[in-house]
Amino acid sequence: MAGEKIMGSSNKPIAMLKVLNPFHIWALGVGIVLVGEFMGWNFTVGKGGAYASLIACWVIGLLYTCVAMIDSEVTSTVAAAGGQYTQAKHIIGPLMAFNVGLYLVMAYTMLCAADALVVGDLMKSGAEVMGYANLDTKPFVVLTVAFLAWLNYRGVFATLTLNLVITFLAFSSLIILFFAVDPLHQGVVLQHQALLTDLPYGWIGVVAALQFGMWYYLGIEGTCQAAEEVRSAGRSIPLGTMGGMMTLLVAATISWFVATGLMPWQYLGQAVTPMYDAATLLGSSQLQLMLFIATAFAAIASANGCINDASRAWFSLARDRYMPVFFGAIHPKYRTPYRSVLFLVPIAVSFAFTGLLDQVITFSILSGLLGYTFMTFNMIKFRKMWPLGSIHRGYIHPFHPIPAITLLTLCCATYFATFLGYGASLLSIMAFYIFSSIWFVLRRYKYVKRADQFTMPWPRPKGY
Amino acid sequence: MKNYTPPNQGMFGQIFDTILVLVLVYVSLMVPLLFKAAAKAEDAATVAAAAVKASWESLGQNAVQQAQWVKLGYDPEKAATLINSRFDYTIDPIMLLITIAVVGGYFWFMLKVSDQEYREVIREKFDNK
Amino acid sequence: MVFWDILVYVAWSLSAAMLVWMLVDAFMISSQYNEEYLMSSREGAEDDVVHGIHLEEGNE
Repeated sequence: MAGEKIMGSSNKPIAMLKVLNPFHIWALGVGIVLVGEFMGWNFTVGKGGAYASLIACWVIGLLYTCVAMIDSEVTSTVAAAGGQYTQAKHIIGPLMAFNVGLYLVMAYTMLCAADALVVGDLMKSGAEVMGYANLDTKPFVVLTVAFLAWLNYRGVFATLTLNLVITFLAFSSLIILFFAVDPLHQGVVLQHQALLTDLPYGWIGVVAALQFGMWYYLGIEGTCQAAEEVRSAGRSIPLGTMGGMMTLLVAATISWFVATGLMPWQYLGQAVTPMYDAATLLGSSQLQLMLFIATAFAAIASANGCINDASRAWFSLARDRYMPVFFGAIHPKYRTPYRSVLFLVPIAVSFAFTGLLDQVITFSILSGLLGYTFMTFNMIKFRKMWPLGSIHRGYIHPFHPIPAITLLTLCCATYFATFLGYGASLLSIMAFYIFSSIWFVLRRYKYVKRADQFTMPWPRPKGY
Repeated sequence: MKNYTPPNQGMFGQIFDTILVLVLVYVSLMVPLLFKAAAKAEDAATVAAAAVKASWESLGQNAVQQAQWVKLGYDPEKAATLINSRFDYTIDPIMLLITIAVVGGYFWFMLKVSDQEYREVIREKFDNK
Repeated sequence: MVFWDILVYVAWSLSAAMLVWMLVDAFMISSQYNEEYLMSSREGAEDDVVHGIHLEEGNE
């Protein structure tokens, strides 16, 4: 048997398929995040009141606009699967890259677990409405992960086309909901005057709200994981990302406007499915059904995008031998990182079954935040080491270094917000990354080929 | 200077490394639970005590708010649990300093080590072809 | 209601079927293809991909 194995032709390495267009990028980015507008964003209301949530929505929106600008510039230049991981490897160095790779894998795998749990819970509440109490959610959680992994395994085009369709439908449902509440006439359906209160915790509540404010947008930066599979990455990725960011700003503002006009903030701040509750309050069963399906679609789209991104990140780590090289294989027929996809299934399911949703979400948010902090150093060093004009950039973002400095400031504020409610989690997650880093330096890095890590056809960086 | 040639890792080592990372993740997910369990029990007790004999007036809810609570299926006693449970935002300065030191130290350590490793990469890539 | 009980079983079996399918496929690939070929993808191999594999894919 061993002698007859197919070798592939010697001069052609295997590669992923370049089949995606900017719409797929939009669907990947928005698909991951949009579930956050259906649930999760409202925890900001609990942490600081309704106005704090709106401020968090816009302040964190500014943070992500900086992220999108910076990321677009670097990604349009460093187009490779692995996204920020590959950027870190070329601009900061191996240990940072290893950490960034872990941020990506952890953020997305944990988000995927949370999404699958949401699908399970929705099935349960659906069954309750139809008169069957205590439906077991586990099979639906597993089915969600298994089906999406199967889809991801079989090819990226079908995976992201599905995401495009269900993300678009979920987004449309928010728009329909917005028009259904008669937005121009206060007091008819919406009761903002009566329901909006002063800041219940004062300004410290606003800062605290920043932590869950990330839920409005977390994952949009995942678009650059598709860099090896998109046609003309330098143009498509900035286009898809910026378009996605605009979609999310609109969706986030609508979600806030509708929900705070219908529910007292103390309820909203802990609601599991706020947008579905909003539809329930409107008393229309069609709207209720629509929001039920849209929430499920949003959760599925998010889990789907997360499997896509997490597997690309894990694959890239393995391809450079940062992680066991076994996972660096590409499927010869479907051209997907199939071993990584398969590996992440039991992990995502186990996260979902720990019952620590709170912890899992905090881990996910914090990993994202660490990644954004990295982007600030990354951008400043990138412009210093390869000044404008020295290499070809697909997109150049304006006002450098203001976005980088703004981003760093907002990141610090968000660390502080995390400290306010989740100080212990913050320290334990930092401990994880510190131990992993030490392990990488002492044990893992010896398997890495030094010069092979630098793959871009760039001149020697300035100062090195 | 000669290029560094890394050893190949065997199957056993690959499996071990993968499991190690997973164990680290699970541990860091579990640890905060130890701190939280104690704090939660305390909170629940105070909130439950306040929930007794609550009315919409004592909870400070206006007419519209009351109506929405009722539509959501809440009576004053049930709503009191939500309304009275508040976050505690008092800052422990020592914990804050420790946290700043940990996050700052982490990034400082990482940039420092990365820079050393990066110089080696660049040397191999551009000096010895 | 029986419907929901059946649905639970369907969900379990569908997940199992898809997982088994992926595992079997992964093993088949490992036995049919050379490991080095499967691992041969390179980062930033933009030009090779555009002028080599990608064009060939288009002709299929």
